[in-house]
Amino acid sequence: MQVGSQLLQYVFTGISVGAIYAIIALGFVIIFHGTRLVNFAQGDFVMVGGMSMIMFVGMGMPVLPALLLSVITGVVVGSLVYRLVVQPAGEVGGLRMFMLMIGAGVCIRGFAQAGWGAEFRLFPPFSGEKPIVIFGAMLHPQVLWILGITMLLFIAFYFFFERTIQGKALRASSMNRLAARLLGIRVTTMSLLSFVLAAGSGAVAGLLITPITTMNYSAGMMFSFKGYIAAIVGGMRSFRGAVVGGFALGILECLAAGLLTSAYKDAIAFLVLMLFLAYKSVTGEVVYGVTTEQE
Amino acid sequence: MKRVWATLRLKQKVFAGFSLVIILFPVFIESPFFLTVATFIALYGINAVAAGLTMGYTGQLMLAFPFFYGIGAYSSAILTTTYHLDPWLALVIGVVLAGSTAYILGLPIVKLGFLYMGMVTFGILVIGQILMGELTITGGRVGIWEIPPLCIAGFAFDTVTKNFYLAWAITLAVLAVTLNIVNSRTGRALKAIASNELAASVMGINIEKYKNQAHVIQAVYCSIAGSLYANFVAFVDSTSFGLHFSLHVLMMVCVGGMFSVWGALLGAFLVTILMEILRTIIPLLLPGAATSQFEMILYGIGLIVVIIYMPTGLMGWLSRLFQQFALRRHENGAK
Repeated sequence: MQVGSQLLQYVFTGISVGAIYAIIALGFVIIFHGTRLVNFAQGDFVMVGGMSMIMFVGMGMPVLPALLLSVITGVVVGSLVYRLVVQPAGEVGGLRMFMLMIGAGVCIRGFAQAGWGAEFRLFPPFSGEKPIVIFGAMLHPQVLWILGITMLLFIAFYFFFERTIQGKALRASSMNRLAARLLGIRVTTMSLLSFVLAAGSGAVAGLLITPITTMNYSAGMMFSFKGYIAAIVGGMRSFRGAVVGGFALGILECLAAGLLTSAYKDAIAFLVLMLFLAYKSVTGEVVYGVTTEQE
Repeated sequence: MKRVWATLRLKQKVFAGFSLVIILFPVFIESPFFLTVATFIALYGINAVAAGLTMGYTGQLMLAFPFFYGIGAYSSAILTTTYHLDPWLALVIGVVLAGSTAYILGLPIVKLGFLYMGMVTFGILVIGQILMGELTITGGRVGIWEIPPLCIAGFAFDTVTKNFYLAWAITLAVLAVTLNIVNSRTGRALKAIASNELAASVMGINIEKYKNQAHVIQAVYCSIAGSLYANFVAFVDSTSFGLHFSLHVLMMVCVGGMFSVWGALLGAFLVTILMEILRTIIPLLLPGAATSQFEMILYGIGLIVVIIYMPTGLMGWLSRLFQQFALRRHENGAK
């Protein structure tokens, strides 16, 4: 029983972390659908959401307006990244795109440190600290909020991209920009929309996770890489895959950190990626260097 | 002397002139601070040349170079302090270790697509840094102290000036080797892979073999730089071989120009100087402010601006300028 509840505890922690990875992975998939870019600043949107929530709550604002304002801050940062970095660069591929997005992330981190300082901070959870006990394992009430909102976001994005004309236009504009433009789709608006959606959901992830883990300016990069790994494992195009990949990665990471040592926590995601790619290459599905859909 | 000079080609003249500047540098500037900065430029320069060769010339996102830099540094540190080996032997063992690690890791990596390769090599860097900070053989978080300097037949490289000459001599050697690689069959094969892999493979270039060769060359260069670093600073810990270092080098490669060997060195020079200037100016302008935030903002903006407006870096921009100038002179001559 003792061991069982211990394991369950790791799984609970894993679920809350995994939900955040899932939201970040959703952001990767959205921007990939909208622009064919891999946005390595995605984790920094999470950081911006969390840090601005801390700031607004610290100013004495009630939770709901603070929440709205932090999402808006995230959206503003996301649109700035699109307008100032992605749009002027035009169609770049490969190495330049990678360096560009890394540069955008570094820039956001620098401004965040200048504005919010370097210390780790957090703010009180939405509905108290009193944990719910299930089979001897503690479930933080914030985790329920995280799970609920992750599911809502997933369903909303799924419907938006599969069932609405705007969502279909967004997907079309990434498949063939010229053809989409000939059909009357405003391609740049659609790309901007994908950045707004991704940054907004990233900010939501940030303000959800901050009450249970701490947040500081440099947290974004690891979020980006882990979210991207979740998106790769999930298939890079599929919303369902991104969510499943995110949860799987979070639970695996927390189990490994709990059962082995927490020092190796950051290595788990990359090991998962390596094993995944090795498996894919054994089954012959992995892309050979010549044609990659990600370039 | 004059006759020898006349027989040299332009590339060789540039190289000879540059070597002369390096040799004369400590004669005119004796401040240990500037010499230390110049030595670090050499160490960064080797890394930047290695990164430029794999990322610019070959067009592969191989981000694990800080890991190989760390292998070199830790090999030198461990073998000279715990096992009391000769520092040069330790350097060679480090190079062999880094090269063979790179070869074995490279076998599966070269099969991957662009961003997958980037993510996997970045993972190697992250895992490597964690291991360096956790294992007992590497001294854990404390690191390894009191690493002896390199020496040749009783002549120890124990002062800043001596280390400056040592580091730059090896950097010039690396530069010469790289310039020769770039202008050889291997270099042309690497360039062909960068421009179009399918076309290159149709031409009979063994893509995986050449990509792995580039990976091994990168590892060997970085390992040499790492050993020099360990013997120069006399102290290693895992924080020097992580994300910050890789960002630093990527910045240099992008600013200088990743499609040129000289460009990588120019980038190392410019970025290091710029950061040193920043570190002295900001505390004067804004007392009490941390410099790292301005460093990051400047890094980010600099990277974005260079990537958007100067895709071939400063060196590409300069060479285009030079070509236009030569063309105009040629046209004027034709009239």
